[in-house]
Amino acid sequence: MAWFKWKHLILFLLVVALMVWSINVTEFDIRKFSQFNNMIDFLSNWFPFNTSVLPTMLKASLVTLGMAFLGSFVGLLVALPVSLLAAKNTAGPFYGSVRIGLSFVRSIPEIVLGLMFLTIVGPGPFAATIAIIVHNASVLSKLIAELIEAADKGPQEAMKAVGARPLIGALFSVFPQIWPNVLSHYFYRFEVAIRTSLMLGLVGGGGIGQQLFVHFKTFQYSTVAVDVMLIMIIVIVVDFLGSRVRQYVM
Amino acid sequence: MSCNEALLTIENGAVRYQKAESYALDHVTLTFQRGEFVCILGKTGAGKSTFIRTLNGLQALTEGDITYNGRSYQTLDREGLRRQRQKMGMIFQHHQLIPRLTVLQNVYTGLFGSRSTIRNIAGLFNESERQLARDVVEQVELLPHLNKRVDLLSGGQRQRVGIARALAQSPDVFLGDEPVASLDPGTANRIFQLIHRLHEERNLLTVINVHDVKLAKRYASRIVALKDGRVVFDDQPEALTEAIEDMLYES
Repeated sequence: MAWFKWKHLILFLLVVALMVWSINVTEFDIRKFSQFNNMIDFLSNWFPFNTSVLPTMLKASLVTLGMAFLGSFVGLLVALPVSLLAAKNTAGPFYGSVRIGLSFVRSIPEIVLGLMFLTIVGPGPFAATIAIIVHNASVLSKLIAELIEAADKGPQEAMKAVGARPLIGALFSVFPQIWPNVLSHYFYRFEVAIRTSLMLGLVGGGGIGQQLFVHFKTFQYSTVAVDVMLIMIIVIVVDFLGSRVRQYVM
Repeated sequence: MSCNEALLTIENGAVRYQKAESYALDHVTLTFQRGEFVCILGKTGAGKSTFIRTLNGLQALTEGDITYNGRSYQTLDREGLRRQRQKMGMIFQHHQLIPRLTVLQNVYTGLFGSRSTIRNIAGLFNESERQLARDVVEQVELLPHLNKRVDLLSGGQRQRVGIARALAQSPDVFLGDEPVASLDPGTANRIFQLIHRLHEERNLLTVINVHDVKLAKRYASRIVALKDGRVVFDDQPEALTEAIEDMLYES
């Protein structure tokens, strides 16, 4: 028992109990896969791909890409200054209220934000984009604020010592240090925003997500196949670009 | 060239950190003149670092006062203190450069105190500022690395950038908080030599913490030794006997 204490055994039993409970509530049952044939039947309907819709769907996926990019990028632009007000070491008296405000906004699910903006500005990608901006601004503010708090204090002291004004000191001593991590967070949020814009498509937010939803509901599985393929391509391309940019910035 | 007028004075200066039982700096009174090269000795925890940091107001005194260029820190608000610091170049143990920026960009940050926020953010430097930056990089012999990122330099080279940044402030005072403590003896000596040469050329007041007694004896014109936050020695290097050294570093 060199590595373990009795405390760990109790913890282990607790985790097992939690798993049993979760299996129960989720009706998790491997035996249900005995009807695997259904799955094969279903997937066989996807072939051959309905390539005639490719141009229209390509256009729709570009709309999705635009929503995700604009939503996450404007979110980042908003988050950069806000994060300075949400980090303990730079916020001054605003810290508490900004943090509370941010966690309030973050707690609203994107789909609820989407539904809210849809009723205000009408259905379409605009409402979805606004929802993504609001959500990402709050998420990125918090993430960047945490990077600011964890940044090396040395350069901040040096900027104080040369007599720089506090704003300049904070900007120059903190942002060059955390920039690669900021970009890393940003690209991850960009990727998440693509998935979010798909979800928002389901409630009328436009783009390839809405198309996917419509094709599914009308049993056009060979078109669904095209939609899914396009979505996978977008996600993979954005992931690839993100890692390249991060490498370049390091 | 030294004149007898005091440039920097600390009078009954004391620092007591929150919840600490004793003083980190215990009612110190010292007067420094232009042209002096002062080394502060003392073992770890003697209050050297606290002392240096009070001189440019990075650490506020809990009691007493500091006067620089005839102005008392007690009468200054944050903005006033910031202006005082502009003419005091500080060199740190871990150089505290801004990573991912180049040598030249780091040297430019030394000019931040005296320029407008907009010009600093936009990175607009006029001809004389650009010349000044190049000159100080040349003085620390880093011109070949002008546009190299500082995180790619060696420890000694980084400390040279730290010195160049302080020089860019066109300082009257050099403050050093253990600037050679993380360097090998050879590099440490060369850095000290460089600081001493610049000190002579510009007729500065230099106050440096150092834990290498030999370096202090070689370069200082005056040695101040601290023990438990108090000044226990203040004289020319020749007066520092072995007995005093033993007393300083005994545990």
